[in-house]
Amino acid sequence: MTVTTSIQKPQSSWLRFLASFKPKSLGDGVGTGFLFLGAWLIIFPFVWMLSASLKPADEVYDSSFHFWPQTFVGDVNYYGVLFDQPYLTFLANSFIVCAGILVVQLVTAVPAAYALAKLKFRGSTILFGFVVASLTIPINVTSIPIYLGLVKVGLLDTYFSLMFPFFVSVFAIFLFRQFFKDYPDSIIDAARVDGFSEIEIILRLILPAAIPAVAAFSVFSVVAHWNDLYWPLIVVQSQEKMTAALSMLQYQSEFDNDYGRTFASATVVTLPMVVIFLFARRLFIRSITMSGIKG
Amino acid sequence: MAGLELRDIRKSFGNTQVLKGLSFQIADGEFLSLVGESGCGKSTLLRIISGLETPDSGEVLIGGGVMNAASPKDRNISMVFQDYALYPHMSVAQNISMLLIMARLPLHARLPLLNRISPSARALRPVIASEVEAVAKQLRIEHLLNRRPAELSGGQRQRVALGRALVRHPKLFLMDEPLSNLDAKLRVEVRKEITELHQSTGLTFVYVTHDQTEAMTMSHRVALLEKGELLQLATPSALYADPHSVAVARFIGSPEINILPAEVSSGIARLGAEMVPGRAVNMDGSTLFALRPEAARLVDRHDVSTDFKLGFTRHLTEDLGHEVLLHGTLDALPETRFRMRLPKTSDLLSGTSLDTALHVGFDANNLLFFNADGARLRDAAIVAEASEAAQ
Amino acid sequence: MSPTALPRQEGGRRRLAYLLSAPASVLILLIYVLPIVAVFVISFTDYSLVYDGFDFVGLDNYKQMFTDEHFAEALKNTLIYAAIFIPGAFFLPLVLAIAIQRRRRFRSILEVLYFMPVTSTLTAMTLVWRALLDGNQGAINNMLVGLGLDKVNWLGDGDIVLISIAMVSIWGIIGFNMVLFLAGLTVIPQNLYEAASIDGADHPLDRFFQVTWPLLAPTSLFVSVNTLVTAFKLFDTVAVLTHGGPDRASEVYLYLAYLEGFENFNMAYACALSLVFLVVLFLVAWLQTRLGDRRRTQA
Repeated sequence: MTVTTSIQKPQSSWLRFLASFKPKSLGDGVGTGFLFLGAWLIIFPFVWMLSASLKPADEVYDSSFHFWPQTFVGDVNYYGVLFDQPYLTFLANSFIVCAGILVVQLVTAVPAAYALAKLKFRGSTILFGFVVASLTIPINVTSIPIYLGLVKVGLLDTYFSLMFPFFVSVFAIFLFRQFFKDYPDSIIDAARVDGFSEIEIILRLILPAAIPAVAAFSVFSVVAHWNDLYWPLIVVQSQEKMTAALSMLQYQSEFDNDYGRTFASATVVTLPMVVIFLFARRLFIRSITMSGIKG
Repeated sequence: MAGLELRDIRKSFGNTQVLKGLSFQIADGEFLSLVGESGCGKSTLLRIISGLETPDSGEVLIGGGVMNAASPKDRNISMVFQDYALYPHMSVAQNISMLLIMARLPLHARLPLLNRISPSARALRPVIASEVEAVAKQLRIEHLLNRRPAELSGGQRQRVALGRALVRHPKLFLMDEPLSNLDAKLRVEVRKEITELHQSTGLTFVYVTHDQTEAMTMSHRVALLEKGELLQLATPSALYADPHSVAVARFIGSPEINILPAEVSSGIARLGAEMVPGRAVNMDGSTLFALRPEAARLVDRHDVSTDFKLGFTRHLTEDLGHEVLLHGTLDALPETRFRMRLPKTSDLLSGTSLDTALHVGFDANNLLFFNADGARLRDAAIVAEASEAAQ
Repeated sequence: MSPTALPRQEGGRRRLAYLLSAPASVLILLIYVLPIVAVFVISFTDYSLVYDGFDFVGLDNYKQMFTDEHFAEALKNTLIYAAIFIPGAFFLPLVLAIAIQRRRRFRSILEVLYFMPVTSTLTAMTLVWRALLDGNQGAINNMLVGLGLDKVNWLGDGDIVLISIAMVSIWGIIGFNMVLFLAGLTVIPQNLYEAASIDGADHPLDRFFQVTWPLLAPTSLFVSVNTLVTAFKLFDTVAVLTHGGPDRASEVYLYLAYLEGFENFNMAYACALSLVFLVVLFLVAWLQTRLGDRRRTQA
């Protein structure tokens, strides 16, 4: 009879933990190596930016790259960016614009989406048709008339002009409608039987249920408008209303030839979204996979 | 020659031991069911037999050869998955022919685009088509060959899954709860078809299910698993009549067997406060008496035809037409549920209400005895005083 | 309950529906419908912000496209850029997603690292790329010299600049598409791979072509359409990195439309350009639904 060979496994959980890192095969280890090499190439620009932001101007373009500067001027660079240059204003502008856009988007999209999903009314098909058609229309196409309109009413270079084209997000309406459609009618009917008014149903049943979708969309919206260049480029005329993303364009015209400080400002502009991402990774990823619903 | 032999199969996931050293053999052509509650390890065992999972230790022998190192395709097995695992993007014919294509065409002839121009692919296509057709005919699904799985009913999908398994002419046919996604009526029908399929092909079947009725009606033998251990492997009737342990006795049979806790000391057994007539031999201390629900009947208060006669309080009556199930408690053991299965006609029930005092009678030789740990006491018995005296 | 209660409720609900959808409807009218009508109308005029008044000029603006060298060049640049960008932005994330999905240990850290560029502010990171790609002292050229290779004039050479921009864009989109592919991969039932391995399809190529690729088709369709549209929408990177240079070698379609509209104030011509762009987008969307429907009826 054959003797069964039982593989002796490491007994302590610590050893087992270590053993779990052992690649199953050589090919697997090589694959992991390549994946991390790729990841290093991907994050190298961030590493380089962070490094440059700590260096004096003449060190930034040194032919040999050292992560840690020979002369550390990180404190000077960041102090300069935040207090000598108007970056606090730029960041505040971006923040105000993103927050304003998001609030209005939610206030307009959630009710409309609920009406489209759960209430019957004349014109709902037409409205939904416009929503779907508008999904395809980018701001680049409508920018000229909206710009002309803003010129006409004299609102160029205001927060309003920065936010206005994004006050309604057809994507949000589409997304939330899909989400509300999946909400069981029986619960809404049960609430009606229990004496809830329609408004109460929205506030006490639908809104709490919609929080995951709203959160994911919020991430999507804030990132999109924090990073937007095109529209601010068109409507902003003064430094007072400049957004953080737009401010990066100033370096085209030798706004600052202190390269270390330049990259300190780039870091400051990039940092908020990266921090949000690291803390709300799941939301970020959900916001992207949700965008796939469209297809 | 054994169709399948398992030797001391062990498997753990993390810190959970799923299989704790299973060994058994199945004869060539046998139909064996693996039965147990979910989480008992039956599906893991099936996956180890198929090669989808590797055991931590132990050996799998199929048709006499050790298969531990063999990949699933080299084990000459077929498997029907619980939700059939049909390829949704392929027609029924393509689903069934997948195996033949993989087995007979070289890699380059299987790749997209290349497969259109490969001469070997072209030559083999009609051969494969005719084999697929033969299997489809056997399962009466010829008319479905060009449809996709999404266009089929549950029963039709089930047949396609069987067809995909049959086309290989395997040594071993594995099925993982293949009926669980069908409605009750269809289940009975397909159950019969699978039995017929087994008879007509003569293959070795291993069938995983949590449903004892399926296991009992279809198989030659049933392996009952619990927490990764084999409780008993026997024919359905042996499992029912001669269980090794309380766990087996409980699992097999519906309604569940009655388990009555008894205290035995120096030959005298008590059920609660009530003394059992006769002498208890080969048992001592806490003991379990087990009685199938159909072994008990209602008796008149004055009836003396049964060894036991106990007061019974009825809580619920289920009238199934051809039989009546009574649920209640024995007056001696008010904490223990007691079930009875009666033929419809019981005069003693007519005109009674739930309050009416009833009496249950049964014979000592219908009792099964287990010790407090649940192990069967084979030598134990209740012997009538008179017959003992006669000896 | 009185017999009239139900209809009255229905009427109330309808009024509520109008109330709820009114703000969004008005905004859609102001932000999408009227501007599109305006773009359409303006594109048939000679309107310019610089002069008062305008005349209808019929199809002149559209005819101008056929004679406009800049238009032809921008179109060519956009197509070349798309041809470089799309394959990289599709296949790299696909390979990465398949490689990462199988890993338990490092999956989340790799996901985070590859996703970083998606979250970052592209205008700021483009500034970094401009430094890295600098022809004289950029880190990439330093590395090439270190490897004994020649320096490349990444941003200054008209033949190379579109490749450089595509590289930066691929860097920015890898994580995005990878996450989509990962989501598509996780919904493929594991037991199909098991059935395949019992059927003998256990070679990685068989697994990919028999199971993964066909079942990933809806995701692939979405990713490819999305990537195509992203390619056409290229603007930020050009605006920060090259300003369309050198010598218009990286002037892509939307950048041209922007220049015509907001630098040269040829609003009417810019509107015509925008409208052509929109038609292309609608065509793509239509194609996507057609392909998607065909998939669905096939499945």
